[in-house]
Amino acid sequence: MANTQDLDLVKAALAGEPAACAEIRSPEMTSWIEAVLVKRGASQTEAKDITADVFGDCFTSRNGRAPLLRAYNGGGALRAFLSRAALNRLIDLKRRQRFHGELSTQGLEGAPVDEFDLLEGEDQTPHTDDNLVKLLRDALLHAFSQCNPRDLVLMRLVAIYGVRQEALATALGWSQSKVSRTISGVMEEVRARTMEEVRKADPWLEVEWADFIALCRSSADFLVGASAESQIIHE
Amino acid sequence: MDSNFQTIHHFLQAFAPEISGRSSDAVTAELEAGIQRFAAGDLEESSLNQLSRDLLANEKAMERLASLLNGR
Repeated sequence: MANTQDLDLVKAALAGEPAACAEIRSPEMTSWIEAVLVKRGASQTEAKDITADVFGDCFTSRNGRAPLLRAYNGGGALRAFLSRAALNRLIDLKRRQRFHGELSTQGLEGAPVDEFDLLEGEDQTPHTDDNLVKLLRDALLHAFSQCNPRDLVLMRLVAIYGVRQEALATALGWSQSKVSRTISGVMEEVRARTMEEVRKADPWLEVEWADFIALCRSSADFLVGASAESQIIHE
Repeated sequence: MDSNFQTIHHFLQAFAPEISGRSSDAVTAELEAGIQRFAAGDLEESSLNQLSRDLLANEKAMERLASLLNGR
C-alpha cells in the first residue's frame, strides 16, 4: 500500500502507544481538518466540534462502534481519511439541521410535544460515514442518467479506453471535429448536472468540480479492497 | 485521456453492479453483432442509441468495442 507510514502510525495508536495517538491528534492535523470543514461550509464552531468528535471516535469504541481508525486501510493518506470522516459528519449535521428547520415550519398543534418523536428511530449503524460516498455516487449516476447514451459511450471510449477520435469518426461516418464536440459537450453536461445534484442534496456544501473529483479520488482510494456495497446505506 | 473521468470511472467501479448499473456479464451474441457493426461502420443511426444503452450497462461489451476500434 502507498501509505505504509500512516498505516504503521495508526496500528501503533490503536495498540495504545501514546506518542502515536499524540501524533495523530496533533495541532497540525486538527487545524487541517478544521480548515477543510470551514472550506466546505462549516462554521468555525461546527468545525471545532466535529473535529473533536472525530478524534474522540478515533481510538475508542462508542455506541457499539469500533474505533474509527480501525476502518483506515492505508488506501489514502490518513489526513484525507480523517478529513472525509469529518466531512461526513458535517453533511449529517447539516441535513439534520435542515430537517429540524422543516419541522419547525409545520403546524404542530396537537402533534407530539417533542419534535424528536417525529423522527424515524435513530439508526445505530455508522451511516454518517456513508454520506459523502453516497452523495458523490448518486449525483454522478443521476447526471449520467440524464445524458444521451450515445454521447456517453463515445466519451467513455475515448476517456477511459483510449480509443482515438479518428477511429470513432470513421466508424460513425462523422468528422473528427464532430466527435470532439460531442465528447466535450457530454463531459460538460456531466459536470453541470452532477454539481446541480450536489447543490440540490446539500445546498450549504461548498464544493467546486475540482473538489468533487478530488473527493471521488480519495473515496475510491479508501473503497479499494473493501466491499463498497457494505458501506452504503441501504434505504 | 481525461483524468477526471478516469477518476469517476475508478470511483464508480467500487460499487456493485446493481448500484452502478454496470455489469460484467458475458457479451451476448446479439450484443456482439451490434458491436461488430459499430466497429465496421455499418450501424444505422436508429440502432445506435439502443446499442449505446446496452454498452453502458456492460463493461465487457465496452472493452470489446474499444479493442475493435483500437485495432484500426
